[in-house]
Amino acid sequence: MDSIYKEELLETYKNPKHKGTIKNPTVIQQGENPFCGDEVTLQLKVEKGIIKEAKFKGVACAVSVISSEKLLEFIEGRTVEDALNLKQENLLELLGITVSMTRLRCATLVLTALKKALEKI
Amino acid sequence: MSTEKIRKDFPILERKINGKPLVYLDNSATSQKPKQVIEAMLNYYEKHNANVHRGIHTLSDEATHLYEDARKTVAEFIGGKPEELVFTKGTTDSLNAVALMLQRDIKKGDEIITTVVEHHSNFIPWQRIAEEKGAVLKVISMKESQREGSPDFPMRQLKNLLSKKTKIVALGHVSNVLGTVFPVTGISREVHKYNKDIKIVVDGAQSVPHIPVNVKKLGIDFLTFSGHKMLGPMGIGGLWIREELAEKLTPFSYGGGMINKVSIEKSTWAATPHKFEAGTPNVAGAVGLAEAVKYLEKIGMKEVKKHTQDLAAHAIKELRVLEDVRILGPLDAEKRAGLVSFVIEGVHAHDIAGVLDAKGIAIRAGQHCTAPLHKALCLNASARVSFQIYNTKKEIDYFIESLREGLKLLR
Repeated sequence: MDSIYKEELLETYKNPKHKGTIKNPTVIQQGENPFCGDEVTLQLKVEKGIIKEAKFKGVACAVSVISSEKLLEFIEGRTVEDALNLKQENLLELLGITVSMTRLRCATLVLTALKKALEKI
Repeated sequence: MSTEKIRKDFPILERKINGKPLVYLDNSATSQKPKQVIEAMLNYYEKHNANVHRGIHTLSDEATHLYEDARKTVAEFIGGKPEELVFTKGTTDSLNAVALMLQRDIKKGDEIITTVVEHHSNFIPWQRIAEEKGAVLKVISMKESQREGSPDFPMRQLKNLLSKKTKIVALGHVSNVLGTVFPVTGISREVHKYNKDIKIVVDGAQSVPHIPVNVKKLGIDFLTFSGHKMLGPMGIGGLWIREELAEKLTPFSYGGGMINKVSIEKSTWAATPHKFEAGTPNVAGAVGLAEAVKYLEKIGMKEVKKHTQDLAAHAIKELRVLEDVRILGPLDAEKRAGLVSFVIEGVHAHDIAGVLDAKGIAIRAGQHCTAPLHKALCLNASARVSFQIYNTKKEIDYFIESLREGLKLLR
């Protein structure tokens, strides 16, 4: 069962705190999942190697939105280096649910975009 | 045959998914297999397995007979001759084979016509030829067929695109998203009236499993289809090539089993269809596919069409009752094969499929390998239910009821 459809996670999906844009972001990065057409735009504000603020925007499914929310919540206040070291397993741990093979692509969309964004800095 | 009796032939329908009885509505992706097909393949491996066309021994002779009988069964099912039917891995494999053969005669500036509706497998091969050969890919926009209630094929647009440089017209018989049955007979008549040398390639992946298909009536040059979408096994499919063309065309793959004579200087090819089947073929797959064809024939393709169309009509009617639902393709089920794609405002197709999975219902969500069509429709993704002979109205009612509950969760 796709346990992403648990009530508390759906609350996160409906009211994601990190959805939106940042004024004068340090970096903007788009992520795309060609299999389902999901698109996420990631914005980061970085000061002295610390991620001060992170936001996402786009058309995406619940898995993708919740994953973005959990990841951005986690990286805010952490160093760029810490964020660069994040692996798929770490993201899945943050999600705290099992994700099917197909929907792994939805879950990791934001992580891939984050890595690309950080490499630009 | 009653649906209840038919369902008993499909062992997988006994399965429970997430504690609920499986409701399988993803038949356009792949259909389930009746025990007759599974047993025929098991029987082949247990009693007759050997390489074909090579051995003198009894088993090889038996395997060869089974393989060639399967070819005859499948060829006749689509109104063709055994010499015209090449076994392949499936539709994608067949379309790529056609593209490989036809590209040899494509020169710079030549034109290939296709439509925006095509599955990637009937789009990318032509796009690649155009890129490699400097040819022009002309894409029918199909704007008419994207509006609700107006599914007609834009014949005038096609006629306007035809030119002295047109070499290939490639299109699907049934759209895997819109469900529309395109008027292939009329299209090929127009195209061949303009120039009989233009090759007409038809993707039959969604038509052969759902509606009666006769290659002679269609008046086309190539038909491609997959076994696994028509109750047969995975890894086997068909490529029908009109006889005169099949005789003329040079193979697309070389190796064992497809030759006449080989010397250091030169090789010559076997007769059609064997010259198109290099290497050891998928005999068990062919045997399974022939059994699937026999199963469908026993029910009758007119009945399969009627049953799946009725289900599509019921699904469309019930979906339209829900709020903010947009049905893709014609609303009149008579103009469709048994599949219905839809979008629900504000809810991602993945989430629709996700909540339904929790209820044991299997549907497809995404772009269904039709990115250009989704872009033309201004959609990121869509959800699709697709039917086969074993599906019931009761299953559709359960799907609608579960969808209602799911939407409450997601909104």
